[in-house]
Amino acid sequence: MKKVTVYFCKNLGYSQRDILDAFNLPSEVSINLVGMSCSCEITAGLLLKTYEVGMDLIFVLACPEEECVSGEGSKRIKRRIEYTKEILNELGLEKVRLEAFHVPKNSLGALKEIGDKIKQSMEEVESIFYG
Amino acid sequence: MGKYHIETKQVPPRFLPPGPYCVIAKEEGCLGCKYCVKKACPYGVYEKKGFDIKELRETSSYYCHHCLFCVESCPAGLISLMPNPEYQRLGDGYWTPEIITSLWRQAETGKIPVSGAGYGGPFVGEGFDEMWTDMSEIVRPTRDGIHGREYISTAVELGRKPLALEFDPDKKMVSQIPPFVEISLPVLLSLPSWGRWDRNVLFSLAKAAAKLNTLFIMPLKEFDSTFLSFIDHLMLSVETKEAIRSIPAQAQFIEIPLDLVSEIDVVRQGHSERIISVKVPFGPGVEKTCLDLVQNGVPIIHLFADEHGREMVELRPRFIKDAIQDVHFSLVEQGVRDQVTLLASGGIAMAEHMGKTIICGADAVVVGQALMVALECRLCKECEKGLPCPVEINAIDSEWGAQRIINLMGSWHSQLLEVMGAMGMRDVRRLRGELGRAIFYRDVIKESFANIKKVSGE
Amino acid sequence: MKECNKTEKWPPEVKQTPSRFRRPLSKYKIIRNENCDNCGICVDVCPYGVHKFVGKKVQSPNEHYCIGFACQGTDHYCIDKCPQNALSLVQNPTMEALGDHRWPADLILGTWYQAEYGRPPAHLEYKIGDSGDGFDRLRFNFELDNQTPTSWEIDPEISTSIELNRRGDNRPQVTISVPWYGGGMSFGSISLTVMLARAKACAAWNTFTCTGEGGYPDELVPYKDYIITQIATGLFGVREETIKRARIVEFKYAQGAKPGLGGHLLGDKVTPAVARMRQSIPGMSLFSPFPFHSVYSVEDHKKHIDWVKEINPKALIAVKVSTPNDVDMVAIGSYYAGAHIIFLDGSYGGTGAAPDIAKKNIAMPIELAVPKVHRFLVEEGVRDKVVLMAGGGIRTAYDIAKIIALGADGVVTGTSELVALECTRCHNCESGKGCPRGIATTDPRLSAMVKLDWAAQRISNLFYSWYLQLIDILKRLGMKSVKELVGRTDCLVYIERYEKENEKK
Repeated sequence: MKKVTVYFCKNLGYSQRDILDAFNLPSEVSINLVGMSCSCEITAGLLLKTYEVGMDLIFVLACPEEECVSGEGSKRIKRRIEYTKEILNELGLEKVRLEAFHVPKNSLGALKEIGDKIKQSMEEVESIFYG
Repeated sequence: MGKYHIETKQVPPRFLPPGPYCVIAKEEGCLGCKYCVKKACPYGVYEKKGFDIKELRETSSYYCHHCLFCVESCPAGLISLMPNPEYQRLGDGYWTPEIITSLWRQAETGKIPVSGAGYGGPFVGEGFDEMWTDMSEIVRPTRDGIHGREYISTAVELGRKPLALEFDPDKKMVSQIPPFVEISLPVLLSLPSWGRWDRNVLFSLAKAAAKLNTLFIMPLKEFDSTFLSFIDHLMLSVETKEAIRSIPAQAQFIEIPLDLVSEIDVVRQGHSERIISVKVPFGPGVEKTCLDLVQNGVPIIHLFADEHGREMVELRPRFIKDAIQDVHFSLVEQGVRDQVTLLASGGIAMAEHMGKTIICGADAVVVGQALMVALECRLCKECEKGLPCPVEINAIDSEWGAQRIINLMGSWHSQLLEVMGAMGMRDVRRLRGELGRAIFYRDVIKESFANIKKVSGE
Repeated sequence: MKECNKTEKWPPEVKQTPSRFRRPLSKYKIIRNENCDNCGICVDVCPYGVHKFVGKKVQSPNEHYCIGFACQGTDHYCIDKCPQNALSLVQNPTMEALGDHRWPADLILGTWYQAEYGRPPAHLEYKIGDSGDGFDRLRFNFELDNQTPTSWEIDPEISTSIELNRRGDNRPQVTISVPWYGGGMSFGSISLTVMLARAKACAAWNTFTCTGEGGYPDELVPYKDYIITQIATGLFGVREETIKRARIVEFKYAQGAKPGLGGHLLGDKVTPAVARMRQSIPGMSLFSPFPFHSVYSVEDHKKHIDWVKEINPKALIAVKVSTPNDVDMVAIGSYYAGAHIIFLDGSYGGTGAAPDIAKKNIAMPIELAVPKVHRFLVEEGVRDKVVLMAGGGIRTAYDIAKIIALGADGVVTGTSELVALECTRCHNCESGKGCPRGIATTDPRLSAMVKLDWAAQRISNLFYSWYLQLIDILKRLGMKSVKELVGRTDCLVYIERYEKENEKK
């Protein structure tokens, strides 16, 4: 069973249910949704600790760059993710295990698309393992 | 009887309760000061915080007291506080995150919630927040303080009372004294109207009820012989006519729904000592229903509202404090109030709600949801959807659970003493229906602002 | 001696007294990204000093000077002026973690501004809070009209002073130059530095502050003419010499934050110094009982007052009570027992630790108690023989003016002085060693965070701002003295919540 964590900014306004429904991940995936006060709360340290407890993949849903409550979170998140990916690489983990998305507000369609991308990433990880 | 004392002791939570604000410290732009402000945090938040492997987030919110010292001290301005979504998700508009976390603290410590810097809440609110309680400048209830040897009694009797005693010419009492029981705290324990609660939770409540010397209103269908040792502190709640047959012979307290009221005699058959409570929803015409019940000799009426304290109607429901007043005073008017015990439940979330409900006319209150919160329930109601409980409430140790409930009730008891002490009152039975000991917002504002021109706004 | 302040400068001077923190809280956040090439255009355009050069680099912005989105569209809006698009402006998210309903973040920042500059701010709140009723729904008539802006000037024609002895007995007159004095905050609940700062500021303004019930530290003796000695139920630190020293002696029957409950100082805050002052043992919680165990009636109360009058034949007597239903009867009883001042302490103030259930529920808010007492004293024909002071929930100059219009002669302040010293209303005064900002604490390391001169000046600046506003209010009402405002409810309007009312019908 794959373990997936999704950190999402609560200022996006989506409920956990919205996200679960839109992603529609296969039932064998265990998914943790964690609401954040702002994507600036998500740091490399937090992400690494999350891998440490046994997560396979982590995704971050952040606000559009110009709409961040703190003004900085969603601007910085991409770079923080890049940085974390490099660390993952050094640890011998695949970069595909981590991704951040800027999500438009009030668009379940966009959430669905992200869900598809997540599924893709999961397949990729799987193919690395078994392929 | 000796002085009533509730023994509280520290019972740590199983889960770190979330605090209202998260600390967010950026690393980008850090000047690398020799002495970082994080080290000077008066609460040691930065040292203590860890990673919660269950919630997958940092635990700073639990330790932070939002004094903003670090926010203002960091020379690069890298630190900010933001509302914690996990905290905001607790409860609902009535059972607010503040109430829930305060109940948790009381269940953990058994102590009265105390804070500094005056009152920070709104001037007035709805429901219970439309009234204040009174105090007296010089009258005090006892000579040696509210916890002294001369103590304030919080005991109430449950059961029917004769209005007068009759004697025959030989001065022998001829009145039959109906059965009654004294509980030491004007609170009965129960389960909420929703949820799935297993034996560990039920045992916690039963044990707590025994220790507190009160009753636990337990669904009969959950009862089995393992609960027999607590039978003196159980009020078994019967749901169907068929179930009446399975009432254990030792049961002294039985609760039945209103539609089984015709079966009272069946329940009592061969058990004249049984005390029966009839459960009646608050709703239109509840005053008349209660009057009929009293006239038919029902000893206890348990009036219930929903978990937000509203009566069971769609349109303009009365709030529990208003509805219980209507019932209480209609029975007073009919001259029968003292024959019956009125219990009220629904929306009793804080110690003050207990006191205020009694002032408005109840003899005692019944709490359910607040007790589940004491056991760390977050009121997410996932269980209602068949989902697993995020705090695994059914996996608790019943000793742990019982002590959490005892702690909460210990805190409520102390708060009741404070409020009664301020009024100069020594017995909670005297508080019942004492509207003179309450201050109602609507009345005072009308009087005090009578001469001020009103304009409409907003 | 008392008059010497008058011959000094009146009113006391304002000195700009900035925050003691490196990054004072701001309502807005300006974010400068890496596109910034230090061209300095923002430094040139901003008239508020938000942007400054340090050497050749533009330093991170002084956001607390920023007026925020109100600046948008002006010719000095740095965000639009920046050629590199390096700046952006957001509401500071930390604002949500500051303050509460009575003291919302905006009002706290507004009070800090007044403590820094000695005048009301243009872009922050300084009149009302967010409690939803009481003061926050009362307005002066003139506030509903389009107001002409004020220049915040002192008008020597307008008097703000009040007399505290109206009994016409043989005791001296005591006049305070502003219609407020400081409420009791004991040594133990606040630090000695803060006590001294309050005394210093109050002396400069020719008014009083009060010792609270924790005794009379020797350091306060130089300010003795401006200090009220309190006798509370625990009688902590009360000695004959402290009573003899005072021009006003206050009996504390009850306090607004915990009416009907005694005082309570948690063991952590009972340091050796506190214990010495209170003649007790360090580390042990101190309870002062409720109520006075020698007072059961107005007659006992009179006996109490007579006792102090005997010890100090020159002192005026103040009686501090909270606000129960029968507060009007309590007031008249105190008058007949011989009090000069009746101090009503409403339920929403308070500084130290108190049970939440008491703060929220017991007794009524001051706005509702004052009109009741005022009216009753008028009906009994003794209103002009006694001074009615109101405290417990007074936050702003507008609160002061409103409560006087509701019937008080003056007010007693407490919390707002602490807010001037950068209290954030985090409500943690009671826990551990006390205030994390060094105000309500006796821990030596924490209290060292507050410097005496800084603190005294901040309080004095706040008083200056209130003074300016009070003059402005009186001027707009066409009054020459604050004494004319007493009981003038016709100057006020109450904004009803009509939507909610209609819903209920």
